[in-house]
Amino acid sequence: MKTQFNINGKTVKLTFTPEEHLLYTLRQNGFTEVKSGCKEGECGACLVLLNGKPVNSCLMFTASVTEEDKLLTVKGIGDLHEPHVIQEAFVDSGAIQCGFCTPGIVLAAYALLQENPTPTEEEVKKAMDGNLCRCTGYVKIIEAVQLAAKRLQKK
Amino acid sequence: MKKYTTVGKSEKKVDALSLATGSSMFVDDFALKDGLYCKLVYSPHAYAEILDIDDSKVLAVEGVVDVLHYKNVKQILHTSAGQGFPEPSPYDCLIFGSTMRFVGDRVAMVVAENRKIAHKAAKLLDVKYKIMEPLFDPEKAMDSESPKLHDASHAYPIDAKYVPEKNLAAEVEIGFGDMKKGEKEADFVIDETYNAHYGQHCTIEPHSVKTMFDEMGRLVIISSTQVPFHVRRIVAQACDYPLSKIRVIKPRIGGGFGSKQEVFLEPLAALVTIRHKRPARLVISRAEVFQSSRTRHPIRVRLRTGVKNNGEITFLEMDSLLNSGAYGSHALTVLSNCGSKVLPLFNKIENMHFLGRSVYTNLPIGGAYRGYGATQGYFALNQHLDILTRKLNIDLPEYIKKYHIQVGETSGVFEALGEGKDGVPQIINSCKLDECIDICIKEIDWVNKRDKKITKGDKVRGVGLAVSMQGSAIPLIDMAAAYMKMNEDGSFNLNIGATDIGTGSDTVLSQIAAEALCVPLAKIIPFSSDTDRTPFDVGAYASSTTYLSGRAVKKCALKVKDQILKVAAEMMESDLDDLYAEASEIFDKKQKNSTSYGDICCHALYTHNQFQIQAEASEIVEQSPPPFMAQAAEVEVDTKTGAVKVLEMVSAVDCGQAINPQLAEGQVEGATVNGISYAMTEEYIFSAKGNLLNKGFKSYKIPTAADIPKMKSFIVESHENSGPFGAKSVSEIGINGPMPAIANAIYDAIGVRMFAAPFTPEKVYRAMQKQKET
Amino acid sequence: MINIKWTYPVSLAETSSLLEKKSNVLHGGGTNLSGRDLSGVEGIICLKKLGLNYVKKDNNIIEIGAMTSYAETVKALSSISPEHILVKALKDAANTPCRNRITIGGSIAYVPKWSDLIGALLVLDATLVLIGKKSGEFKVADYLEQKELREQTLICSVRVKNTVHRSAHYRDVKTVNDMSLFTVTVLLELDGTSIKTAKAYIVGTKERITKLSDVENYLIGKRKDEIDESTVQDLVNVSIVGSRITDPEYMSYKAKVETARTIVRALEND
Repeated sequence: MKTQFNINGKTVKLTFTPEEHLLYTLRQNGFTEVKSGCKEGECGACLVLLNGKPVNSCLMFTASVTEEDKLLTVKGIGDLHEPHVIQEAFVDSGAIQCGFCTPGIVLAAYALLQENPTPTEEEVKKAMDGNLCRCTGYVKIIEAVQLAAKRLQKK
Repeated sequence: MKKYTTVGKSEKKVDALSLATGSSMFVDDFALKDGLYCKLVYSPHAYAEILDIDDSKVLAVEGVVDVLHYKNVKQILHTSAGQGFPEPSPYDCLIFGSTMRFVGDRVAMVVAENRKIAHKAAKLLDVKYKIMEPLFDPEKAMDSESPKLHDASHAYPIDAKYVPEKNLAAEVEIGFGDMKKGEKEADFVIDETYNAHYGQHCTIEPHSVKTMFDEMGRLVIISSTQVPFHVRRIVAQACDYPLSKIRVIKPRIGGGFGSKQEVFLEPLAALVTIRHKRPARLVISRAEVFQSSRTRHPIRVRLRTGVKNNGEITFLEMDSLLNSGAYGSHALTVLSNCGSKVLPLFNKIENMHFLGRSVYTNLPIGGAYRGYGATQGYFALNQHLDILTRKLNIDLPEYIKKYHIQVGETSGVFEALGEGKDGVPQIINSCKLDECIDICIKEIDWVNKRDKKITKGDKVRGVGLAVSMQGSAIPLIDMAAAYMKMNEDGSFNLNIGATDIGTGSDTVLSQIAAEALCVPLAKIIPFSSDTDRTPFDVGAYASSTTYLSGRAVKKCALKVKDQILKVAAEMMESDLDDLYAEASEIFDKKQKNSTSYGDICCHALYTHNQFQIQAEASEIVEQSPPPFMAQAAEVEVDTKTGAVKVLEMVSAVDCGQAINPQLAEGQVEGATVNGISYAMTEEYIFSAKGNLLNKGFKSYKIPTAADIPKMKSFIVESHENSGPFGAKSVSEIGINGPMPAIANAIYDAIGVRMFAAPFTPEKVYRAMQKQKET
Repeated sequence: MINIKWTYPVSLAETSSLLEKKSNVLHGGGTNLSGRDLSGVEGIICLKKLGLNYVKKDNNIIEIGAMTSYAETVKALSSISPEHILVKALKDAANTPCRNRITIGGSIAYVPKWSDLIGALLVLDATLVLIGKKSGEFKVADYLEQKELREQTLICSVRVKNTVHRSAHYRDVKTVNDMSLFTVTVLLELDGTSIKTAKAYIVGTKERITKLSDVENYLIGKRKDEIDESTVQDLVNVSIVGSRITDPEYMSYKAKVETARTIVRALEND
């Protein structure tokens, strides 16, 4: 099958099989920033934004994503040379250790702050309930999201 | 506290931005050209002999390239334990053998052009088994009627007690003083048995390896590993391939915690590439990680202490039984640490005996896991102290302060108990455990909550305390090395074998180098963990990186600084004694002039008496200065259902000088949450036939951000003279306290002692019922 | 190797005719289908273009399109009726990214062993609208009982009462995002201070879904202060099953305790 996908603001035509999962298609086509941790929708390492909403790409058939859909990976919100406020907040807060969960968590934070720019600590925690991190214990991740919210408000 | 320029600063992790923006490369992000997909086939039986494998149907599938199994793989006994050579673990496993020793043991590996073909073809493997009676109960392992799991031909490469015919994978026994005297002097004896259970590390990145021949025909292994140098050596051994032709690279890896201090996938992928001259990819699934990688060793710890009415412990006897699972990697060393990291903490006990045994069972394989035996030992010791002080109506924090090891003191255990060798005597140079305890007591509001059983409806609250020490590297055994060279803008390349597994060692070691050289952190360019490009380092384990690798880095940096000073002396026509370094410049205090590092390097590279300013250094250590930690928990117990909620966790650690406080806190927080999770929700559920039932995150529960309690973490700085700029380790210790602290808190709330975890509602409820009956 | 054909029907009629072929399966959010063995499947009918993603209020009936996700349902209902039992039941189900894909229709059609939705729909006497081999409006309870209603049909929407009755939902979990080992859902209609109607279900039992009729009967006519928790407990006699259950006897006990508590909690929502 072939579809013209909109990924990180660019259109890219990708070939895939009917039973293929979005996670696999993305990684095979160079979007290796989307990670594979469990393939059962529990760890959130594969999280991407579909029309602004966080979803687990491991539980999605590539064929269920169509041309009108907009996909965002962590590279779509900022990169090494022009990082997003959220990415910088994660760096400054010490919220990144091994970094494997980071792309998914940064996107979850991005989606949260788009919808709710001034979340309470409880709301931050709930927005992360689909992301596993074994390194940080989450304390600095929560701080990073709160810092990002503050900085975005200032802008 | 000493004042430093970059040490002690929460500098940003050097790789943080590349991780945050997804540009860092993990093993599976490296594209392979024309790569082969590898799929492992596992034993469905806990104990079975393979009578025959018929791979003809598999090989007949189009796109299948090979099937590896015992008939076509050299049978070279080795250990998968990533430890220094000769390893203190038995050589009891094969890449593929014909004896299957647990459900999840490796039968064969299908190699194919892609995932679909490999998975489909794997189902066609025809294996004939002779099923044998399995052994699941470690307490029965050494009984004569029990099945024998290992061959008499298996052996340790070192001198170690090992009786495979009795399923004894390791035994350690030490003692000093006079136990009989201790028994006589005791007013009463506390004798309790504690059980630490299975846990899985749950690194978010599963174990992954890619192998290929490079353009020069050298075998390159890109592995998610904590021990690149051990990988190289063990692959050479197990695959019978020249070590000089192997290069191991550790890229960014997604967590280790000990599970990747093991070499069990690399030889398989290497063999595929060696045979077929094509790249190979072997990345295991989450279910395979749970069942067939490594686990924490369950240890049953029996503690017997004789106690005087004034609180003094007259003798201590520890009897530990470690369940090694199907193979014996780390069976001796985790067992040893259960005593060696725990018993010295209470060094006033004159009469001590430790007997530890590790036994084989037909269950998943235990391996290294953060805490490494100390976690299991402290579960026992901290509850034992709680029992003791309650019995005598003594304040637990005050008791600990009175009896724990102090600066200037030693313990006979240090010398008696090593890691497969004799231990090393040492004296404590730095210890701020008292301050750590005080912080915990204050922050958890001990005085107003302990013994108060604050109740609201069905819920009762309680507080508990636990203390621990760990180590910093393995004295006289571990070695680390560093290499540095200078560049003409005053920057330095720092090449280290030391393995950053997410802990931030690239950053911490760079900070140490920067401090020694008097340059800002940005001037250090770290490069680590490539067996071709970096000097040796044992790898990330035993909490060795900051202390041991840090000392090597400092040593190396100071050598470089010496060379800089000499060049500057020549350039400025100065007396060496008049020169000092500061902020990337060399100053002459007499002449009142200076030269920049950049100018110095240019002079050395281009102008006169040219040479490359560079140095190397290696380091071993003669002691393992322990970090000390106190942790306090507040819980709320539902007296109707037994459900326990951890409300708050306070941790205070003396890690010497924190090189990077933010990173040190991160280690404490991560280890603590892992410890809480281990105590509360993690468990292995086996079927009657030894099959692991909960092989995924849906059924093996670890927390998300939504589950953590209120967390407070404190770094209490001491100064460890032997450490680089005063540092000790910090990464492991945090996982030791939560389980006993929570257990002690549960007792405080409802008067029920939990001798085993996880503290699930059903287990607490049953303990409550049992208590009511007695 | 069958090459599965994906279709994206834009009308219910088109979907209906696609359903005539037994080897075609429906795709809502895909979270359940993703993990299934697709051998024998010849076609996947993707429902995203049918416009079944909506929440409408018409007098006292709320209609939720079958393709509405849990997250969208919670969001929309929270502004219409924040105390609605569906909000309580769904807001913590699964996890954030899964709540963005799990659909109301898909959840009913595939009724997994664990479910936060079913109990809530049953206490609401919810109905659903079907097209395909069988069409019309049916009770969710009947849909779950009658196999013919589930074969070659499409759930278009679900209809529930917009009720501000007293309600509470309990999920038995080990962590916040856990699949519930069992759920208890309670809906009580009061007449003044006493209970006029009572609906209570446990999902996750040996029968999968258990209607707590004895408890319901006990509650009718009672006032909040007349309810005895231990009596309620005695009336709950269920077996909780699942591969994660290591102590079934305990779970039966827990179900009793938590049912009683859920009822008390429902009445505290004043």
